[in-house]
Amino acid sequence: MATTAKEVAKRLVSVLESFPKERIEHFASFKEVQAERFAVIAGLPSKSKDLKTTKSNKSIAEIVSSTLSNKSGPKDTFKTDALTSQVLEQQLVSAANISQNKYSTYYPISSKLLKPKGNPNYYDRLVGDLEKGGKQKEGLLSGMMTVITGKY
Amino acid sequence: MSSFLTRRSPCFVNSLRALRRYQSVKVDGKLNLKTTPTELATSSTLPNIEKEHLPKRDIDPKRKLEVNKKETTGYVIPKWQEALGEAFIGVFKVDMDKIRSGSIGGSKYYYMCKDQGLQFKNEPLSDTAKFYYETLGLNRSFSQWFQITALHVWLLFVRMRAMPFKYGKLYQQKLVDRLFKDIELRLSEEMNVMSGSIRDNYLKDFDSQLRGIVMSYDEALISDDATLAAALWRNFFNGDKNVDLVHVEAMVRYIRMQLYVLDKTSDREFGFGDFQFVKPNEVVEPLTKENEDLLRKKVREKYEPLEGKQLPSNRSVLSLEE
Repeated sequence: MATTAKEVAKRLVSVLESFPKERIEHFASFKEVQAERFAVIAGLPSKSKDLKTTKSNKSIAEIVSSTLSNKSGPKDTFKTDALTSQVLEQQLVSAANISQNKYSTYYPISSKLLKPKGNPNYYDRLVGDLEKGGKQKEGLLSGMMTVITGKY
Repeated sequence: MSSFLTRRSPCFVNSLRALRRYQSVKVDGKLNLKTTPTELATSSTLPNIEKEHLPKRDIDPKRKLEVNKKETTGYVIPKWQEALGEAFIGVFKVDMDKIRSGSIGGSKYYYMCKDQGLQFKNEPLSDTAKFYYETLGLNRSFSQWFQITALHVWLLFVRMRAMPFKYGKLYQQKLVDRLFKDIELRLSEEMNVMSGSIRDNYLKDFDSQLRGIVMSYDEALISDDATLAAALWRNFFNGDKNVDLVHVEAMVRYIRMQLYVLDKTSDREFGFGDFQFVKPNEVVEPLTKENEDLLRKKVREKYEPLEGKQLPSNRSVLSLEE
């Protein structure tokens, strides 16, 4: 049973690692935190040491609570007791469904929402800005246009 | 005129809802795409893992906010007021699409978002709240309520953006104004936050959270399900390390379902408040071309009947086709 759970966890980690890289750095990365959670069961080496900062491994709640109280409270650790092979199989199916875009394919949305007539460039500009890391400032002219027209 | 002043007027909702979701049926959870989000989430065998780092502060109000009687279900405006209103609108050619943004965007739609995850200590949960707090096992707290509400507000934002700019912007404005007005009132009345400056700080915090939520979900909308799952995990699931991935999948499914229905709703229906969120225990099946044509035909018959006069308050320039 244990070996099966290990194998399933390995597959789960590989599915999670196939998730796209996040465009901007957040406090915590879903992909990395979850891959690390299942890597513990799979017996794979933790990648947390390779990461530049440790903050991406912390959950948001952990960061908030450690900020609020200077005391180092109880660590929000991975709880792996309940993760049997049957549970892991289900988690694997869900992760695979998400990574295969099953739902966005099944419920396609048209250009009506993707190129909204009230603000057609909205999503292009948003993604463009995120691709640049969300840090680049807008030029003076386009900035003025954004303010005047109210369109992003 | 009574029709646009009531927030949950049955005449808005029932007719088209029946048609739009005539394929929405509860089915047994064997085929994955036929299961409801609730069934999908309950199928997980992973027991609910306690979230030690999240506050467990249930909302225990001394006094609950009352809903204005004009915003309650079944409120009927007196006949003389209705006649006066219709005459006023007719004479002064009032732009009813702008007026409607307040009663629909700022009232009906806001309450729809608010009621999704609304809960109070020692009170029975609504069907939708059961899904969030019992099925998904989320913590019962004010900030979780905010996350649930903000998610639904974002869903409406997506649709409002696709309306003509002048009206869409107004609907968004009214909705967000109402959200923050209500948060402030809930904080002071129900959460007993008596200090104005503390309330202001909370409001600023919720404002930046809302910006982050809208940005993340918008990014997910045009990217993929994995980006949506990550955005949900960061916001809705509070970055829970021990999150159940089946629950995340159920939420991805729930959101994609809502977006599909919003996509199939015309500007006119949406502007008139003829939209309701799909419940977590319902499933939407994609419409065929014939279904869509039938839907458009019924919408046209309802809003622009060939026979019969249209009241001035029902005038609109919003599209019936898209």
